[in-house]
Amino acid sequence: MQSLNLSGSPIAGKLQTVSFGMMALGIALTSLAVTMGGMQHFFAVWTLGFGYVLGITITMMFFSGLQFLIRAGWSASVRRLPELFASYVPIIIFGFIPVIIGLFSGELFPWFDPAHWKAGELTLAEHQIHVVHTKDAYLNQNFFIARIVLYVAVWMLMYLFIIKGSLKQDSSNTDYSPTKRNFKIAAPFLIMYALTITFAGVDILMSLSPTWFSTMFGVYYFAGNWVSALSLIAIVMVMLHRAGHLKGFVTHEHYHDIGKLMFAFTVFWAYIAFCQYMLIWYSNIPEETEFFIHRVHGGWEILGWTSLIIHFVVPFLLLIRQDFKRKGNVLIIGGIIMLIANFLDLCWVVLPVFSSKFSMNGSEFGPALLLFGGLLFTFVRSAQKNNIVAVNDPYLHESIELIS
Amino acid sequence: MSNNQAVMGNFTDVNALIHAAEKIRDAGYKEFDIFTPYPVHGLDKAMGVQRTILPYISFGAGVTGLVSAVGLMYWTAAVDYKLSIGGKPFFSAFFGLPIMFELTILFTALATFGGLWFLCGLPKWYHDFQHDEGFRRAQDDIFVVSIFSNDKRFSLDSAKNLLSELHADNVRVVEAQS
Repeated sequence: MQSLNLSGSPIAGKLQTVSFGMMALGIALTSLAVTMGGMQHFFAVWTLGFGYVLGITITMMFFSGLQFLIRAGWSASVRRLPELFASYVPIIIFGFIPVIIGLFSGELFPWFDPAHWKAGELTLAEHQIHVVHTKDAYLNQNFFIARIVLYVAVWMLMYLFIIKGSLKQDSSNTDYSPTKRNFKIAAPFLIMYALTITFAGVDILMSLSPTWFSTMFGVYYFAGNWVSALSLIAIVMVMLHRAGHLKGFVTHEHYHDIGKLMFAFTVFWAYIAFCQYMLIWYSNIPEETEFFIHRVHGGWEILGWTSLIIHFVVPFLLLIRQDFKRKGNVLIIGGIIMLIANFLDLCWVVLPVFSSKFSMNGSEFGPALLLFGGLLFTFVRSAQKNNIVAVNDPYLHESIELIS
Repeated sequence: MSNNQAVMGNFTDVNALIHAAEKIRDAGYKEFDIFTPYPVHGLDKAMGVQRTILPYISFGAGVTGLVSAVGLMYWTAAVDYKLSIGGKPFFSAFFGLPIMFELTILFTALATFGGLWFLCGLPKWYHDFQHDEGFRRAQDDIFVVSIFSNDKRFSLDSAKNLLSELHADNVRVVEAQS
């Protein structure tokens, strides 16, 4: 059995230092959030950062499961990277705890106690309280917690079956039963992924604006996560390849293919985000437009335009050329831009709930940095223990010889 | 240098074909072509085919489509004949965007299709060397390498020798027929 991991590698040390830096800065900024903004601000930015990193982590499992579902040959040599990121799943799910505490404090989700919820000068008007109460069948604390338990169960099962199954294949190059089993179970797990990511997005982020109606929000959340996950995969792929760890497995053809996916789905994100906006803008129904009216006034429009430009226009122009998709530097720069853009986009969704005027002081980045640092740290830890390439994957040779 | 003659040779093995393409490319030939029954990965690189300019045509057409959509909607709705519908603004990027998007796609698609035909020299009813028996078999079970006489370095003997050295089967000279 061939062994290929990052133990004792200088790049692992570097990445770990970066992750420690992120976590330290994250803790500092989070405590700043608590001291300056109080508990409500903490719950808000925690939900924001948690929704961001949770989505990326869960979507890493989607990447792996998707490759199994379609028996993809091209991706066999990069598929392990998202699987290593997915080892953060058993840890990130504890991030639900502050969300639930926030729920019971009554300060986070306006639907918990709509008559008494307040943020600064913002409260719910009487007709809004009425609208929220019509949704009580879905938005109530018991069902909310039951759903979270269900999501956690589905994600843990997906982790234990798909990711662990893929890792198990490394120990044998004659018995392909783990891969074959993944082929069979990938489809049901992907259906469950689609449902859980949709409802998790609605529950954690959209229910902060409980009077709003939108059927696009789930796919909007997914699109942002999928672009971010692909960007993160591209970044670590280029870094590890440059450090010499993926030599002989990953080529510029893989850069090109990941670049194509990044390009395609950043356009998809823009398409979905605009569809959601335009239909509501055009039909002009008060209970729908309320969400956007808050977000295009009071300074929040700066955040919206920024996220539109760096989540769509810049990556679009950056990645449209074929030869640019094959350049590691372009993938790293484009990936970092898109990761930041997705975070700003979620800021634009979450923060206007708690303030009608634009106000950001940097503490919003705290929990996101902390959890993202944790993601990176877990990736390195996992890469030191496991192979960073699926060495016994039946499609590995096809992937190595890939010409896109 | 008229294109009235071609030296052709048959191959049955893909690896030998790619090797041959690299050798012919390295020998400095520009005017040669390979007829295959299916797309062979990596063959264009082995032949030294330059990257096409088609993406620039597509991009230019896309920008033209976008600009014309914005221009058309702005001029008709907000300048030439203002019509207030339901109190909406005369022009806004929001309702206009689907049209901009569609027109960009339409222009890009048509220009890409037309550009492809133009760059490939289509429609071409008859290729000068189509009467050769190998040409027909190249749609079925063999690969045919063909070096054309309009190449600067072309001479019958050197081209024949090169193909023979590369172990091509049935190396032959074909006269153009048009």
